[in-house]
Amino acid sequence: MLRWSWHIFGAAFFLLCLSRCTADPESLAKSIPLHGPSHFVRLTDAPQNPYHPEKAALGQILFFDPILSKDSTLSCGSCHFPDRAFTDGRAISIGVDGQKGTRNAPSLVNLAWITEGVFWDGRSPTLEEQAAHPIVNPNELGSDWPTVLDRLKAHPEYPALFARAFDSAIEKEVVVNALAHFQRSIISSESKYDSVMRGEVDYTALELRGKHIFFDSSEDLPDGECGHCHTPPLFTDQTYMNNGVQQQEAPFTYPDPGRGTVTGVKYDNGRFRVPSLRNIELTAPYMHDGRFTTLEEVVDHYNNGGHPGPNVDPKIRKLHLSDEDKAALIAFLGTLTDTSFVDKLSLQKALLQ
Amino acid sequence: MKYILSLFALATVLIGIGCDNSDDNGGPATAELTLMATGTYGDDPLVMFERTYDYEENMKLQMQLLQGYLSDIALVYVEDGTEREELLTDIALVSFGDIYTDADAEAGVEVVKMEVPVRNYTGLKFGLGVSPELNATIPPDYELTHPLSQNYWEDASSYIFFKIEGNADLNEDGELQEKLTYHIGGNNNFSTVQFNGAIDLEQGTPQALALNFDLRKILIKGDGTFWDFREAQFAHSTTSPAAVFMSENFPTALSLETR
Repeated sequence: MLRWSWHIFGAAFFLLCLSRCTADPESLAKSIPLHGPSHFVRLTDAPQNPYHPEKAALGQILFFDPILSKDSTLSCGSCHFPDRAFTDGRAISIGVDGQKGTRNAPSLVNLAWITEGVFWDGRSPTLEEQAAHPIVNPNELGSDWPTVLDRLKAHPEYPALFARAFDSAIEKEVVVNALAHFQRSIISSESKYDSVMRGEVDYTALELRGKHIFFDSSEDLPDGECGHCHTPPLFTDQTYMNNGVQQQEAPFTYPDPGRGTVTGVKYDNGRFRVPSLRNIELTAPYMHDGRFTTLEEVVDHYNNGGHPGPNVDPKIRKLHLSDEDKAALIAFLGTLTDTSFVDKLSLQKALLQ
Repeated sequence: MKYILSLFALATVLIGIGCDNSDDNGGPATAELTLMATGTYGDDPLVMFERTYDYEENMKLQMQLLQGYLSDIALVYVEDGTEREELLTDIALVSFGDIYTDADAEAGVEVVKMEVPVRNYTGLKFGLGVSPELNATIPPDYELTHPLSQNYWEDASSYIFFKIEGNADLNEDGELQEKLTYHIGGNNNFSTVQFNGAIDLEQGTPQALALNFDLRKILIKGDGTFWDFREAQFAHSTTSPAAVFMSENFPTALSLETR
């Protein structure tokens, strides 16, 4: 009880500090637009759920609170660790009761820029819609909304925190809105790549070689084709692509249909959301099912041209990279790691636990 | 009775004054105009994936993506002897990536739909690609859903004007295993097109135009010169021979019709 009191005190203090940082006390309650880095595309606020730092802070508390799971043992943070850029290091995540999920836990970074659906298959159009799923998924938190809401309402602190952040009683919509805003607030934009783009530092020779391969920007080096889909600054173009990672069972038929399950279009079978490569060093294993444990394996996959298939993206082809080219590419990928982001979010998690 | 007649007369006058060539708000009369884009391969509808198209020298082609930007799309009219433009939109991204059936191809994709002032227009004008003015901007200048928030080529400091992607059979083995990826950009590959012809709009009568992209004409010139996929299957450049060849062909690969 004493431990919980300290946690809640810390959370309340955290929220209080946030409130002191805002310019207009009158606007505290409800809406202060989220601004991204100047070198990112401009964000627009979700009119149905306007952003406010207090909402995000509440969402962060909920994110790391096992109160959302069936047996109060797991939280969202159990599969999304800040020091792994919000992944969990497993090929497939494990939920309550040891239940195995179906896909690799994706990194939750820069989701504020999502426009084309969340999850590997894009089945949720918004973060708000997405946030509801893991709570009731039997392979994840395995709870149900009546139980979650009852627990939150009975909690000594949550009613006041919700009232302050949302001017609302605790309802499902408000819970997911808070979680969505926390996810929205997870912004990573200060990697070495960003520093180089600002002219503050230089790449090493190996990193520069890798950068040219990544962006097809040197006539003297092979094209890696990476930058066509992993476009900066997000390092994803948010499309759904079949990158030849699965062997087709029949034309347009794959063990995991991915996007095709959502759209019902067979040409989308085997397509998955192009993930961001920011912090990719930290988010092993890789691909929708975590089949590749190292970046070396990933690069080898692309270098070999992947499995054939009629809807495998035409940019997936044999690359003819030498060992040095591959090492260079991996070195460049390392420049996408944002240590400051990882440290900040890890510290915030530690304060809450 | 006298007063009733006077009121009736007054009302008639007022109604008569109100029946000028204007909308309810007193502004110019307008009509809804829709510009659609369709894709063909010669006389055949252009669909993605399962349709295979014959190409030169027994090569075959199957498409996965054809997309491109159109800039400064405007209706042209003459006023006081001077040619003027009614801008429809400064930028649009046209993509045939979700065209899977002949019916989809026939229907096309919507480029722009809006109310435009009623006039006797003399043509349609637009830029093929991103205009130099807009090509000097970058995605952070825009909001998330804007057409220019994506498709940017950092190293080339340009947007990717057109993407042509698909599979090919280059060696007559019946397998469409060879990959084709052509990305075209750069101010040097920008051009403007103007179709001249009467586009008469009437108030309250929706009008639709269809701009057709003939992929075959993008790949093969009128004199029979064609892009040989075997020379280069991939081009991501503003100056590559493939990019220049195809961008030269784009203006003549388009046609406009009313629907």
